Amino acid sequence: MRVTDTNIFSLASYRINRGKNKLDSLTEMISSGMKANSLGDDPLAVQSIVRNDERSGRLDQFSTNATNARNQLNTYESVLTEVYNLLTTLKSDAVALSNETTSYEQLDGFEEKLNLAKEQLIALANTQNNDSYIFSGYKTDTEAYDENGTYQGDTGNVQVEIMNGVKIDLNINGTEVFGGGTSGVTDLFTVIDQMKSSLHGDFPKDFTENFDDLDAVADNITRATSQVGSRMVYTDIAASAIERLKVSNAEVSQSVEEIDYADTLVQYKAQEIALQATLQTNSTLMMPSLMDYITR
Amino acid sequence: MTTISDILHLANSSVQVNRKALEVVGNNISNVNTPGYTRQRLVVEPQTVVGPWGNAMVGVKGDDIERVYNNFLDQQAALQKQRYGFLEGRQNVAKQIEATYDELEGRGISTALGEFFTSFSGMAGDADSLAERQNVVQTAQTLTNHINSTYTSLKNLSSDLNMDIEADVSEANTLLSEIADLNDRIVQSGGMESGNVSELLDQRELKARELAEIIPSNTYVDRKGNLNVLWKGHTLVDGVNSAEFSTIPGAAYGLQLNYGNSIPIDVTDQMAQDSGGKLAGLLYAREVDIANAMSDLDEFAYTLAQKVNELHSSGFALDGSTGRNFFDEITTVEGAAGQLALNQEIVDDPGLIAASEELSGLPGDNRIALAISDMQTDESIFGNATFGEEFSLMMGRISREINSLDKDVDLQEMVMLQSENFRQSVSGVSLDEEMVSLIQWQRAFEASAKMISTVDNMMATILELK
Repeated sequence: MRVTDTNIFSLASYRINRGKNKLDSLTEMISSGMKANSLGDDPLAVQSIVRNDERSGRLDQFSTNATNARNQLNTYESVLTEVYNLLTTLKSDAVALSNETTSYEQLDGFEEKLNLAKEQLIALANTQNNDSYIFSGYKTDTEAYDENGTYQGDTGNVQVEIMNGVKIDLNINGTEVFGGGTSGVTDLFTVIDQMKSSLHGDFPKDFTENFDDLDAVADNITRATSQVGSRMVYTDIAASAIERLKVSNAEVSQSVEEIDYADTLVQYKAQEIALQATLQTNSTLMMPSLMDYITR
Repeated sequence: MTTISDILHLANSSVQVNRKALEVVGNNISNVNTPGYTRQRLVVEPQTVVGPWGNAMVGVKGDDIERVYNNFLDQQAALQKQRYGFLEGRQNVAKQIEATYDELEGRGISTALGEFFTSFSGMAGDADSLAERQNVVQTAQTLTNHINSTYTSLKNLSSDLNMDIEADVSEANTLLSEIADLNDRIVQSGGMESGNVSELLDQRELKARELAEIIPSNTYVDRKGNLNVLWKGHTLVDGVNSAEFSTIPGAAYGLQLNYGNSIPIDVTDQMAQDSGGKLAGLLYAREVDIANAMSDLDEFAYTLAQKVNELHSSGFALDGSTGRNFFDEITTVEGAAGQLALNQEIVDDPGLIAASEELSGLPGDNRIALAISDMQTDESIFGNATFGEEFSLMMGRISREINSLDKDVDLQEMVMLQSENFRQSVSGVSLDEEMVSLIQWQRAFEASAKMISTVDNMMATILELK
C-alpha cells in the first residue's frame, strides 16, 4: 500500500488526539473520584447515583422521625411516672385517713390535696410536645381534658414512619390512662370526685371502694408505661438499623459509583506511556523525507 | 530515411514531454494538502508515424493527463463519511441533552424528588405545624422548577436544532447548484475525455463528497460527462439543472424538495436505519433523541401530578376544606413536564395542604401525608418501579444512549479514516514518490537537451564539410 503524506499526518493527529482524550477522561475520573462525570460516562454508575440521590434523603428523614418520636415517648414516660407517683401518694393518704381517729382538720387538708391532685392530673393530661397535646388523639390543638376532667379529644391514633413501610403508633390516648370519653376505662377524675364527696359522709371514712378504682387506674398507667417502653425499644432498634442501612448503602453505591484509585492510576500511567510512545513514533514517521537526502 | 532534422524533432518532443511531466509533478507537489485532490500522471507513449518505409519512431507523445483514482474506494470513503456525519450530528445534540440534566452533582430532579416525598413524612410527624407545611411547599416548588426548566431546555434545544437544519439545507442547496454549474463547464470544455478538465473534475467530486456528508446521495456520470445526483429516488442534479431543498417553518418544522414542483419529504423516512449524513443525524436527534427525553419527562410529570392529586384531593386541609389538587390539574400527557406547577392556593397558604383523611381527625390526623410519603416507595406506580426508580431508569436510558453513541462515533471515525486511507493510498500525493519522479523526469529532460546539442554538433560537423 502506498503511504501518502496526507495519510501520515491525518493518522498521526487522530492517534495523538485519541490518546489525549483517554488521558483526559482518566484525569477527570482521578480528580473527582467518580466513574461517571457526565451522563454518558458509565450508565450503571449514573443510574446508581440518580437512584441514591432520591433515596438518601429518605433515610435522613426517618432518623429525624425516630428522634422526634423518641422525644414524644420520653415525654409520655415522664408524665406517666408522675401520674403514677401522684396516685400512690393519694392512695397512701387515703389509707391513713381510713380510721376513727381522723380529725376534721385532716379531712379538710385531704380535700385540699384532692383538689390540687385533680388540677395537677389535668395539667399532666394536657401536656404538650412541640405545641401539640399528646393525649387528645388527632385533636392535637385541643386540651385533652377540660377543667372538670371531661375528655375533649378523639380516639385518633397518630402514626409515625420510622423505616420503609414501618409505622409505629405514637399516641397514648388520654382515655386509656385517665379514662373518660366512651372508653369504658375507669375515669380517674370521677374517682377523685367520688373520694371528695365521701369526705363529707359518715365516719369512719371508708375509701376501700375507691382503692379498687385507684388500683385499676394504676394498672392502666403501668400498661401504658410498658407500651411506651416497648415503643422506645422499637424506635431505638429502628434508628440504629437506619444508621447501619446508611453505611451499607454508602458502601454499595461506592463500589458502583466510585473509581478504584489503584486501578485507575495504573490505567493512567499505561495511557501516559502509550501517548508518549505515539508521539515519538509518529514524529519519527513524519520526519524523514527523501528531500533530506537529495543534495545537488 | 531519417534526416538529422528528424532527430532534432524527436529530441524536441522529448524535451516538451519531459517538461510537461515535470509540470505535473510540480502540480502534485503543490496540491499535496489540497482536500479532495487526486494525484495526476502524464500518460506518455511513443509517437509513431506511418511512412512509405514502414512505422517510424518519431519521439514521444504526452497529451493526456490522467487522474489516478479508484471509483470503488472513492464511493466507500464517501459512504463512511456519511455514516460518520449521521452519528456526529446526533452526538453533538446528545452532548447538549447531557448538559441539560444536572443529576450527578446531587442537585438534580432525583434529589428534589426525594426531598419532596420526605417532606411529607416530616409533615406527618407534626401535621399542624406550619413550618413543616412550608417545607413541603418549598420542596414541591424546587421539584416543579427543576422539571419545568429541564423540559424548557430540551424544547429550546429542539428549536435551536432547526437553525442547524436550516444551515445544512442551505449548504446542500449551494452544493447542488455548484455541481450543476461545474457540469456545465466540464461539458463545455469537452467532457471527461479531454485532458484539461482535471481540476474541474476534482472540484466536482469534492462537492459531491461534501454533499454526501449532508445527505446520503448517489451519483453517476452520464455519457456527456455530467455528474447526476440522486437521492432516495429523487433527482437532485440532472445535467445543468439542480433541485432545491427548503424547510417548512412551524411546529413540525418539515422539509420539502423543490424541483419544478414541490415534494414534501417524510422526515421519518429521512431517518431510516440505512440513512447517513449530517442532516439525517440532526433530524434523528430532533425526532427521536430529544423527543424521547421530552416524552419520558412528560410521562413522569403527568403520573406524579395524577397520583399526588388523587390522594391529596381526598384529604382535608387544616381549614376543613377538601377536594383540592396539590398540583394544578394536567389534562394531557404531552407537555405535562412544562405545565407541572404547585397549586397557587397552597403556595399562598400552606395550611391548605390536606394531611388528614377525615374531617373529624383535624388537625392531628396525618394519614394522607403518610400515604403521600409512602408513594415514594410504591413500586406499583410505574408497573414495577417507584418514581425514583423510574427516573433513574430514564437517566440510565439517556446515559446508555449517549454512551453507545460515543462508542459508535469513535468506531466510525476509525472506519472513516481507514477508508479515507485506502482512497488516499491510490489517489493521494506522496512527496517522496514525487521527488523520485522529479529526478526521473529531470534526468530525461537533461538527456533530451543533450540530444539537441548533439544533433547541433552533428549539424555543425556536416556544415563544416566543404
